Amino acid sequence: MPFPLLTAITFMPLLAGIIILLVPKNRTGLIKGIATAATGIVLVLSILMLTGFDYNSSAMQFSENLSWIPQVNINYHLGVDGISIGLIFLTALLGFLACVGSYGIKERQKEYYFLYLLLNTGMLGTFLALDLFLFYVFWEVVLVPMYFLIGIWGGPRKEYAAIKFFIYTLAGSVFMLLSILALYFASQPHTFNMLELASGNCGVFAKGFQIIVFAGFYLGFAIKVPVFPFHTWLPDAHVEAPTPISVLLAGVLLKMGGYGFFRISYPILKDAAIYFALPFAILGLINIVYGAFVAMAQTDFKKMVAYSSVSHMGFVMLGLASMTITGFNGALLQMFNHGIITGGLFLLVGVLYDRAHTRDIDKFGGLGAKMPVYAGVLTVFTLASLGLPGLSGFVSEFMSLMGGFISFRLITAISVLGIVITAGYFLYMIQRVLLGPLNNAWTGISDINKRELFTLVPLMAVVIAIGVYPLMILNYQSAAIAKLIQDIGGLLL
Amino acid sequence: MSVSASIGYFLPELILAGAAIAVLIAGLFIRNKAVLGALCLAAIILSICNMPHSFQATGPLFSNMLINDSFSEFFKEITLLVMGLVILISIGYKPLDDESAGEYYFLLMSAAVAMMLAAASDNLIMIYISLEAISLISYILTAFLKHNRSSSEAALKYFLFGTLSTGVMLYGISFIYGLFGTTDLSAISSALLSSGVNGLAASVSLILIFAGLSFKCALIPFHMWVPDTYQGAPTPITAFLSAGPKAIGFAILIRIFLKNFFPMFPDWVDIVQAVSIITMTAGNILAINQEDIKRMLGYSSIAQAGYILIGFVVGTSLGIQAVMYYIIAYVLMNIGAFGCVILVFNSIKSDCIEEYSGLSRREPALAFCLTVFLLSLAGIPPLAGFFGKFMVFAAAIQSKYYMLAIAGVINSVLAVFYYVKVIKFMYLNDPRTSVKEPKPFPAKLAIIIALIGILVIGLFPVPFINWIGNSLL
Amino acid sequence: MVKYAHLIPLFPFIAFAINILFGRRLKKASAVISITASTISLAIAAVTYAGFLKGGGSYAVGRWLSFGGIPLDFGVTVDGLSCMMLMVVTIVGTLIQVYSVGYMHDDKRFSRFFAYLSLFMGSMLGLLLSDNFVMLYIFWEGVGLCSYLLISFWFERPAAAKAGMKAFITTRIGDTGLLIGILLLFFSAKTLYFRDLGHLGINDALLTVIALLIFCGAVGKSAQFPLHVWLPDAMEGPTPVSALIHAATMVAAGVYLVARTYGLFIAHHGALIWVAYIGAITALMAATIATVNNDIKRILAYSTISQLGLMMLALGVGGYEGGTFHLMTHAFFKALLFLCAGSVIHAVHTQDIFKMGGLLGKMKVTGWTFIIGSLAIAGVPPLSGFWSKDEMLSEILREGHPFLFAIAVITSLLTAFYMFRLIFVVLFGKPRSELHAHESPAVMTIPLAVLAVFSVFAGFFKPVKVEYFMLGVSMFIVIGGIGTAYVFYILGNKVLPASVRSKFSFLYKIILNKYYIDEIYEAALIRPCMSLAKFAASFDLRFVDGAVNLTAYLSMIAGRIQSWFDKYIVDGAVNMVANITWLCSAVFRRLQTGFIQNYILIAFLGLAIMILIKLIGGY
Repeated sequence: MPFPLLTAITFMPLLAGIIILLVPKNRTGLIKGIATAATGIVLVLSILMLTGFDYNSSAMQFSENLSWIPQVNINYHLGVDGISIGLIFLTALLGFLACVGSYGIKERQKEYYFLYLLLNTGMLGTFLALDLFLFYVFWEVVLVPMYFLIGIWGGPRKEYAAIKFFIYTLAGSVFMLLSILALYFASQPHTFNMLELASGNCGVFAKGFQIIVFAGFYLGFAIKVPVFPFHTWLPDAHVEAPTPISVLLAGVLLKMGGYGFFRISYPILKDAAIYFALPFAILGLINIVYGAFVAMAQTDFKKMVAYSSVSHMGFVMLGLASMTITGFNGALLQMFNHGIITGGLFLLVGVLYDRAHTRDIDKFGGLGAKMPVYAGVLTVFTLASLGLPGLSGFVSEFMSLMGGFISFRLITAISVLGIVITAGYFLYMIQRVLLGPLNNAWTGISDINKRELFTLVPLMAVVIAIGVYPLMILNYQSAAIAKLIQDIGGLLL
Repeated sequence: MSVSASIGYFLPELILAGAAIAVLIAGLFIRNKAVLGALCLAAIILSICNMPHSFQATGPLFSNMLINDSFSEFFKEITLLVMGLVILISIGYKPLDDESAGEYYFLLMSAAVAMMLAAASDNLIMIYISLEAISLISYILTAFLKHNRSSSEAALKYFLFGTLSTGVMLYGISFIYGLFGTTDLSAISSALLSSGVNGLAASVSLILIFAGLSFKCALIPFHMWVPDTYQGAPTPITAFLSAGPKAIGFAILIRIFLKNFFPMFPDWVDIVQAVSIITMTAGNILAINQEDIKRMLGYSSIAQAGYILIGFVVGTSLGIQAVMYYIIAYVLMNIGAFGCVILVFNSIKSDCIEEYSGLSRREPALAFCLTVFLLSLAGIPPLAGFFGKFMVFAAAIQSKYYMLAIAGVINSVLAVFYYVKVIKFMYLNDPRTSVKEPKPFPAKLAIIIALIGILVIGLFPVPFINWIGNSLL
Repeated sequence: MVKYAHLIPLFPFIAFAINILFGRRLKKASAVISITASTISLAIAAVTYAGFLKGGGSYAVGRWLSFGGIPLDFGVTVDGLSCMMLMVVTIVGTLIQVYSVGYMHDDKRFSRFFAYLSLFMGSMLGLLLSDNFVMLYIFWEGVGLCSYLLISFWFERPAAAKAGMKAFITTRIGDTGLLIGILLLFFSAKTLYFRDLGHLGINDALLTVIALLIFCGAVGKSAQFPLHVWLPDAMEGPTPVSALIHAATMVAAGVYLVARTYGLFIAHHGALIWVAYIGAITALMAATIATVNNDIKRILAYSTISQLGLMMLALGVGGYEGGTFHLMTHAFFKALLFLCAGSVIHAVHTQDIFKMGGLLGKMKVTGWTFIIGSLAIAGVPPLSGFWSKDEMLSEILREGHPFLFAIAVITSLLTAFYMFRLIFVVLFGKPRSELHAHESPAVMTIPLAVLAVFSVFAGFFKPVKVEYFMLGVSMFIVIGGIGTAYVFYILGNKVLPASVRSKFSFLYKIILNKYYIDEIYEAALIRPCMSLAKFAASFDLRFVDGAVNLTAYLSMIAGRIQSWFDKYIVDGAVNMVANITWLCSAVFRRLQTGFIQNYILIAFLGLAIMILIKLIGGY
């Protein structure tokens, strides 16, 4: 039996978490060390996975398939292909960096790192699971530590934000559970295996049935993405969560919804996906433009970034709606890029908040003079986020738009306007925070420190690398996307 | 089978009955609830060891009064599990004094015998008698804290309500007797299959019987005793009431409705479906605003009964399996939760949810356990409560009861709110006191068993599903 | 030799990386790095030009992306247009960087300035070399970024910070059109390469739309009406930046884009005439504003807008040769003018021309090069501006647009007028305020001298046949424009301008306020946009999120109502019943409350309903 790489990736954090439970509470150094080591190992393993991955193949790789509950045909089935590999790397990378970013957390550290690691296992498992039941289990496992992480270490309205996040996302996912069950009983033989269900070997589902099941999955995924009008948990959760958790929330959790569309909704429910293409495009448009407008009016730095996520995830919807190779590639890449960029932005907001204890954009001003390095890094991430060519955000937005344009010209053309608004609010933010005369309140503010820089530089490197040479990551995903489009009968463009 | 031949298959019950008397007598000399409790536990273990474990039905015992099949054996084992856990947490329950421990255990062991009889009854009269026995013992146990006014009041309410329900049930049984000329369930089912019967009369009588059993299972609108009784009764007894009689109630429901009266399935299914939806919805909504944790868990157990009822409504083999699986999970998580409530009560002398503030700081392990139980009750994977819900919803979807399934999932979201409220107080709020009581080992053991139980059967349900599969009617 | 063309942008990028990473340690040495890099680029550009003259061509460098199976290569295009512009940009860029060493010598962010300049040089050269729309778009946004960074370089000044943002967003509005145009082109013609533009085989209407969308990008970048508003504000940046980016190179990129995609425009004249009219409006409008402005840099900025408008006008009527020719000559003399202005500002620390005066005596080199530049732009033969302007005018007339020709002539007349207004006010007469002017250091004056040489002789790079009619027109323009300025500001100094002003006070006010375009935008676009954002945010909070919270609230209320019902209705009835029972029965009196009866009542009611349902529904 080969080394179970994927199991190791998934459960390494949990294992470390259990070890942390056994360590005395006051040995904080050791606890941090264990957590960092575990997430570091996961990162190394995921890089190993990247190097061992054959990107000419669209098949599942490193598969592990064991029977779990044979009575109802549930398997412990993990695997990775071009669709999930980028997201796993993203999770591992952000998981490690946010762990380093968590050193600023000073209270109840043992609980924090345990929950943090549990969260990591949940996220990694979600992207690796190929059995719907297993997928659902990991999906839900994410909720609980997230609730605590927001609720205990969050900001002033943490309790409200935490329970809202929990209930809201749970409300979506229970309908997903019903859809999973419906698929199971509709398939012949009954199976939870995503690949089998997508292959059509288990029977072809009627269109009406597909639409209902799709709607069930949609509730689960759309709330996570989040798609308008299910997005209001996000600003609350983002704003109240501690910095590293905001990073994971924006960087990884939102991707779980998009990934669900890629892995489950589209391949398994092809007819419904085609049926819902137009609504998806319209929702994508609303997300892009509406999110941008709302972001523009925010004065809370974190809230603004949170709404920018709503806007950026609209490109994922648009790319998906296009049913084209270009659009799908763009949407998938957009998820990865958004994770990196927004993760970075949240880290940067955290840097500022740690020093100033406020996030009110209007209270800053002229920080560029006192914090030149910070200003530079913030500018790079902002520019990436507003889709400046040469940085990663542009490539994926451009591809999503290109894909969208094939299918929905008018909608896509209006979506492009979102780019202008995005530029508007981001630059307006830069102007108010970094530029202008130095606000006297911040004369003593110190520039970004080494540890903070350490968490940001890798992300910046990825942003620039993908912006300059996007094939680096597109190569991984293109074969799988091409096969997916072929299977669902999309446009090979 | 004759009486003498039946005795051999009756050993577990006999052991318990013997132990009950023994513990009553021993109680006169040994005034120590731990020792007496250990004696009871020994009897329970012995009883389990003497279970026939032969998964083929050995046919009727005691002149067709009882039946010995794997289905009844399943519920007998559940009964013993419940009893074992209840005794363990009773030992750690402070208000229970050593003086009256003998009586207390005697009553518990007697209740166990009655429950085992109820699970195995194959005759409506036998069902009635054993249920009445359970009820009577429960009334006494509820009022066991003689000096506690609310305990007595709870018992009185429970008693009045219970008497009425069993009366209704008896009325229904008399209808059945009038229709079929027998109370023997096997005979009734063959009569039902061979010849026609007045449908209306039969339906009405079934509804009456259902009403009586609904009281045991705490289904709406026969639930009104639950909050007051749960709140007033000694907590181990609350745990017992929430788990034991409910499980037995479902066992009898399944036996009567899904086996013997199955031909009439279409007649009653829509009513029960409505009861299921109302039960879980009202239970959950009522639980939201409760400030007393025992009351809250009381309403929660009403809601849980609503979910279990889904499997019963579906009535397929998967549905029954779901009910049985859910009952195992439910017993473990509910008793576990009450066990934690007892330990918390020991130190803060309150069942008020707000008093749970900062429990995680004061007693991290206890808070953790209670959190796991509550999350399991809320149906969060990979805990047992989730897999139970999963099975129930699967059964509903398989048989196209979409309404039920949707009502179920919406309710499970609603329920999260009040379960998490407790967790919120424990983890998110600051502690008000720093009192820390030593925790008695038996109670800890019960909680650990329940904790490991819900983790194991949640993560590795295979052997349990096999067990259930072999125990089907 | 052509094969090295792709290396041209590389060296400035390397210089950028070095300067941004190690700038703080390098300090003044960063200027050396930047200048070296751009000198190398200049050398390679020269080699490439030589190679091109021997017959070079375009080539691909590497795969960048693929769109649904259609590959997109990073390629390089080497033709007359790109070679000309490469030379211009590298020459002007290098000179301006040398100049900047003097101009920026005591700035605290000295190395960062050079880092940005290098980034700009790299992006601009990349833009020129791009052989397809996506690469062009990437570098197009890149130069926009540098423009943003450099305009708000002195970000402590709120005006500079605002101006940078305004520039970025305004140009991005145009870029959005460009982006849509690119998307539309790709999906109608399945190509993004410039070389295919001549033979697309798609219908005229679509072609017109694509061309106009692409022109939107040019309008934004080249500050054409109605997106010209950012360029005057961009003068908040350091003067070398204004010279390099906002006069000679980046703003010319719009004209370059139209020239580069000329195949698309000439295929169908519907789009082209738009270019002409937009250019004409811009040229005239900006020229009029320049005549009344008092800020030395803004006068030049409006002049730039106006000149770019002329180029557009020329291109729009089909005058490809004249338009691109003027693009080149303009780069030299406008850079020169800005640098001269910078030198003046450097010396007198003010930008108001009416605070200067008589500077020629104190600043010989600056003064004379300033005059040379002004003569060039005014179109005095045989300076470079004359040749290119002459060619443009004759092309406009030749293509049969007398109306546009008239506009071009008026614009040129105004150009000569406002330039010499500037010259006369700044360099001649008596000082109008206490200024301690001094000549700038050699590092600044030498680039001025070199650029002056180019301004004089750049016109000879291209042989132009002189028509006597055009020569006459040109002479009329030059003499008319300069003569009027002389009358106004030397002879009738103080009296004449004021009396004209009061005579046409209404017109004067409109022009002085730049036709109120900024105000119109503020009222019609920016404020509505901000209110829309505010509205969306409150909608989100109140309505969308409100619905969520309402659901939660309602379930809480439902719980309360049910509890309340349990407690009071049932209990209330209970108390009533209790009272009755108290009257009736001694047995129940002991119970004190009548809970139970009511509970039982309800249970019975439930049971009765069940049976009733059965009775009514079932049978």
